[in-house]
Amino acid sequence: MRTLLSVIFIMTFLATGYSQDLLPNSSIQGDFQTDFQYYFEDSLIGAPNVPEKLLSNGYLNLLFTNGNFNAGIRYENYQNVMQGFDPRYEGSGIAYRFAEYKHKDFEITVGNFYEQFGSGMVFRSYEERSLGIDNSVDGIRLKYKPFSGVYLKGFIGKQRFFFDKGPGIVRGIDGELSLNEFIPKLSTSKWRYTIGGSFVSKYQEDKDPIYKLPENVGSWAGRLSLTNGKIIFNTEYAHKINDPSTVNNLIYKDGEALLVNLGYTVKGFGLMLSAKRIDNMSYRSDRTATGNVLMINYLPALTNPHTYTLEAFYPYATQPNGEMGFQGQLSYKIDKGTLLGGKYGTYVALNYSRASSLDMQPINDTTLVMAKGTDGYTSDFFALGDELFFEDFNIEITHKFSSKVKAIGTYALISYNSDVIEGHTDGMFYANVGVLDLTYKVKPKKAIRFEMQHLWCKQDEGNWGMGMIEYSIAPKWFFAVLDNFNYGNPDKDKQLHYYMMSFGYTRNAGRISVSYGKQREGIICVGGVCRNVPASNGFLVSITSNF
Amino acid sequence: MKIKKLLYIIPILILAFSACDYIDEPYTEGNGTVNPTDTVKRKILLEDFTGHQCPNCPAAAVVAHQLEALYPGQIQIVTIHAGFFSQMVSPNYLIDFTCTEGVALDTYFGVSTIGNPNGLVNRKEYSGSRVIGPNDWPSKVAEFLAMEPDADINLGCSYNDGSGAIDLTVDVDFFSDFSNDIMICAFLTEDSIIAYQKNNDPAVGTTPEIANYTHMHVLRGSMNGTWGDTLTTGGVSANDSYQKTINYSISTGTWDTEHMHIVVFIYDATTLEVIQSEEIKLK
Repeated sequence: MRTLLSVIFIMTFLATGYSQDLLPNSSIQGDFQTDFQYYFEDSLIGAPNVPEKLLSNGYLNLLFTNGNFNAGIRYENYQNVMQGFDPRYEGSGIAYRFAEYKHKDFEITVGNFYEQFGSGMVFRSYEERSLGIDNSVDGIRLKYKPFSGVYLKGFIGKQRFFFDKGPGIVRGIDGELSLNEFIPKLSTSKWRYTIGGSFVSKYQEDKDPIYKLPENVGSWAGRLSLTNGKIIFNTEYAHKINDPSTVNNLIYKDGEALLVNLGYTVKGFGLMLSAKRIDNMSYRSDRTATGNVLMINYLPALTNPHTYTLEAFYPYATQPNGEMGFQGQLSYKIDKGTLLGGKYGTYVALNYSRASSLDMQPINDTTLVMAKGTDGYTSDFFALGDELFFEDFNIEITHKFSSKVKAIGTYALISYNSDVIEGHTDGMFYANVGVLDLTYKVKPKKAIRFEMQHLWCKQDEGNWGMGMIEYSIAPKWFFAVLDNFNYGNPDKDKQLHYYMMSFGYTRNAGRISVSYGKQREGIICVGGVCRNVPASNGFLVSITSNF
Repeated sequence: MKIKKLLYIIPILILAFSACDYIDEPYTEGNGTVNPTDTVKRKILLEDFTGHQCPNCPAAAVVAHQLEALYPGQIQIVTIHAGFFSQMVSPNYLIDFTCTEGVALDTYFGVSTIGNPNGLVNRKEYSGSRVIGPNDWPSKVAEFLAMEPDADINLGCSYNDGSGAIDLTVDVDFFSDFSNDIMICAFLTEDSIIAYQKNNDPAVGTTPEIANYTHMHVLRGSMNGTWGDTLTTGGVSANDSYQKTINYSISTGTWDTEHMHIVVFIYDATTLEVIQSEEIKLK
């Protein structure tokens, strides 16, 4: 704590009046967030007794800038860790600190940093606070632009592991060539051409008395991007050498991944097609790590990230051990002045995504697929497996009826393999979800919004209904009341209401929101990475501020 | 000029690509050096937090038993059922494998909130956490067993079939100095309980569940509380010896005493790290 206060004092001093003479043009910026929740035990919904009653997660970022020099810290406080986040975060301290200097085409960072190579399939360090993910690297990063259009990056360091660091060392280099910048003749071309390549390696000592484990595990990737005003095409292929780990059940097979995106966009019309193949691509700086820790790479999800509660009941988590995924998205605006477009036009968005298993074949007649301490399996690159992991077809229609009334209607058909996605043994869930979202603008700054949702499902917890009323006074206030009702639960004792009341107030760069109610146990996902959220009953207060 | 600049990058690329270790078959170690011949050996407490509804847990039990086989007599396994996966669910999962002490340990160390299967190896903290994944147990166990023992535990046990009374005598000889209080704990475990267990590893058994799974080392309770008794306060010196008697009665007929063990371990009261462990059959 003393260290933190010293750092804050020094940074404040540097950025305030006293330092203006010494360091003109310096500035300090920051943001603050704290969430705290008061818990009530509720055996009906499975909300456990929380001995502390009140739990809190808090974050403060400070960034000091002076010309080409930046330095910053993030203080984090978990006392104790809120339910649903990894309890190993417990405690407080400076979890992130760095200094950075830029000089012409050269940039050096020491301390913690976030970075991504290409789409992230061989390296991505990032923070996703809502999931409790922070795999920042603590080390040295260099960036260099030797010629116009050539961008080089290199780093070495260890990844954050709660308030410590993981056991493995990660190092990598990345090069990207923008042909339009590099070749003068192409500078005026409508097409933008970019190629890139990465190499990343991790080192972790092998102390295992049973298996011979590789201490250095390398991975590489190559990528290509072509775009013009209407068409976008990008692809990346990644390969990883033998990397037996807890996630892949200690198999020695090489890993590989391919991601392809193709899009076409003109005014009022957009089409995006994406496909991927992921084969044994879990890559962590601790081979025994599980959960959302020490991940070196990021495997993107090709599914629609639903925002409505019941549509988001069954989210998809990318399966690093192997999956074939496809997604198609079509958006179209029906012109205003037509029968379906009305006075303001109508937006239609169609989305279809599917993820299934790889076609995994045993390596010989006597070895099971994925058997520990073997090469695991063989798999034809283009063959699809038989097992469906996830499928989602959804449509969203947005129509403005008048200057006061706007409606959004969505419908989703979701197939969800709980065995694969949650690691349970409850089989497939098939859900149909319908949503109607109506907004009525009472006055220019006052609006009332109704959400009606229904989920039909014959498995899991059965049918759910949801209703919400929200009143907002822009830009400062909102008030909301909602109820999720699990009226179709096959267990009559669990046909429960999950009420929630909330309000929020925003002033300048500060915001406070308070909610009270019950939350069901579930899973939240961001970009195909998920965490389990336990059931809870209580007050939640969130405060954010930027300065 | 451009080519010359690019040449500087080639050594970096060569260096980078050399950072790969390809492993050829066989993938297993020879293990010719894992059995020290000393009279007294370091013994490890491995607490496996599990649940009968946890599909990944049978594979973790296999790791524990591999270690038991690799280091005979040097691994004391205690299987602790606690958390979400230990709940009783009709129709097949109606045996309550949990116990007060197990739940208290799970709550204290936060194991099931991190996820099952996971465990503690001598309750030692690594990178701020004591919770260790099953595939890391072998490395951590090997690290411990590479060290000389700090103490020796000798046990004597008498059990009265009629009353269920247990008289346990413990002799502890220290070979190293410790500055903190030393605690002693005696856990009762039961083996060979045949019951349902969820499973997703076909190499271990049928999926998605094994109807006749053999549950081993199940923690049934403690003879002297979750955290045990104080063996000595104010630290110990090498060559110090201590004796302790622990008496306890179990309800006859509750458990199969033919398949029960007592696992005794001593630990540093401040760091919670286990110093030595030992096991004896109840009968």
